[in-house]
Amino acid sequence: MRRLLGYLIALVGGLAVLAGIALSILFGPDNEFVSGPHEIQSRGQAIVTAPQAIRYADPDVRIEVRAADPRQRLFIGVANDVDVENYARGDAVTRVGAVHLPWKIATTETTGSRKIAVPPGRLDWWIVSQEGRGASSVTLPLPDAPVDVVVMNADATSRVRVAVSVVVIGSGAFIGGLAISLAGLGIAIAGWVYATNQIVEDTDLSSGPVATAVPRDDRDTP
Amino acid sequence: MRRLGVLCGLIALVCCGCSLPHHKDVGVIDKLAATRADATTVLIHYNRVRTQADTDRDVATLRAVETGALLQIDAGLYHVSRVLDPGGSGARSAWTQPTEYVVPRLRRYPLWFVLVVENPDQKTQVAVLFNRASSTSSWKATYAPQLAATTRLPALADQQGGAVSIDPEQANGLPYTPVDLLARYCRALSDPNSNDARDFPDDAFIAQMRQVRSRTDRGNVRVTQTWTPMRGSNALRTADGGALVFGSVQRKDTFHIVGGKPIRWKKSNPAAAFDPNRIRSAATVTYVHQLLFYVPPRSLGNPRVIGQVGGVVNASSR
Repeated sequence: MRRLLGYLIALVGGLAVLAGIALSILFGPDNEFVSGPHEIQSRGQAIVTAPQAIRYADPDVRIEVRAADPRQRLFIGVANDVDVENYARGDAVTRVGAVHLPWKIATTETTGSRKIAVPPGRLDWWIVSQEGRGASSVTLPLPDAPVDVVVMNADATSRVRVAVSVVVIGSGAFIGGLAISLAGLGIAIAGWVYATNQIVEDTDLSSGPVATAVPRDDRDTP
Repeated sequence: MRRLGVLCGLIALVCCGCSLPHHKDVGVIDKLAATRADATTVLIHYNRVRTQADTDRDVATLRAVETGALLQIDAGLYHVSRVLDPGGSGARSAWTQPTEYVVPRLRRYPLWFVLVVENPDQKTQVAVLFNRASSTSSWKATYAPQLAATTRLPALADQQGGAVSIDPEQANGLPYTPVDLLARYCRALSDPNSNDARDFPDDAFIAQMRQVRSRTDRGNVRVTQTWTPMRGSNALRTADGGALVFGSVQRKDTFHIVGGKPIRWKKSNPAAAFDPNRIRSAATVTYVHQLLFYVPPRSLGNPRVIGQVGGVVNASSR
């Protein structure tokens, strides 16, 4: 029973070593997991994620967009779905319904007769937003609230063509991964020793104390 | 060695666990209408613009921060002030910092919230409701009924840190819908003998309006009062299961001259600012009132008005 428990502990330690190494390789020394750039385009005025597309909260994420035309001013913003839904309602947009990293997305083109009249940069309800010529990016901890990411031309004109990169920032992930590996290694060794020590102890108990004869050297004896 | 290994493992897991993503529930999509900081900023902006509008008695300026029946009341106030006191100023004191923030969680636009502020001019409180019609429009004050200095809003129901709004067209466990409440209240005001009047037996506003009517209904003047609910209403759930309801009503006082000489409004009467002519047979003065109702659950009593504001918006005669 103790042997089994020892091997189990060693197995857990081994898995922790693998997980720690994977974590360190995934994030690298800069603690960033990067997916992209991936090209997305819309014939409408905006590329908008659905609230269901961002199903996780907490990690710090940076979203970078680069325009196909480097002269184009780009806007990227993150806001509550209540605001975005009202802003883009009835407009022709490209809706990203699901995002799976490293990169798999599901998009649908919605048609609409209404035009977004107010450029996004004039609105006050963005959680984070930024405008830039040719490229733009936002960084935020993903909130618990239902949020959407919106990418538009800053002047709200149609035809948005961008390359998107998603960067998950895992502060301390590289060191943490190494620490997990080391701890796992320690646990694995401890488990192995625990398992194998039992066998030695059992042997010792069954055989009893062993008397060792000290050879006498009689050569010096007068 | 064994203890050290376990300790290292725990530390590493805790360190990394701090930033582990967690699955979030996106089943219910809503938001707090505004943060406290946002609400305070909206009030400061409102005070600044209204002070300018008051000084110039300029409705166009006021339109940037007010809408609906409240704008109608203040536009009437400016008109009366300009006509009766051409050289004066319409300056009013700015409302104070909020003493109470009531911010509901809402699923769609329009967004709205309520601030209770003090009105230093009249030593009263004001429950001002700011409304944002769409994501691209600005916040505008829509209701501002005044409450007595000692009045406290009933405790409100809470949902994830926000107040709970009620659809004005749904009864939601109330004796009747907020929209229906306004219609019934108007019928009770128009006719003291109506069935609806029994639902508001001890209402101070109804008593006050009946006094106004009986004071003017004398001599050769006969007065009829008609009340009609205005569109729009906002309602919040109270902690006891009742509701707090904001609504506006229009009142028309018609004065019939019976067999006497034509008369004229006194110069100080606000109606004179709209209609300086002689009244030969009849005159109609139109008022707008904004009301704040507390509607307790049926077992705890009858609905009653706990705040109101109103003013003349028009007058005509023949």
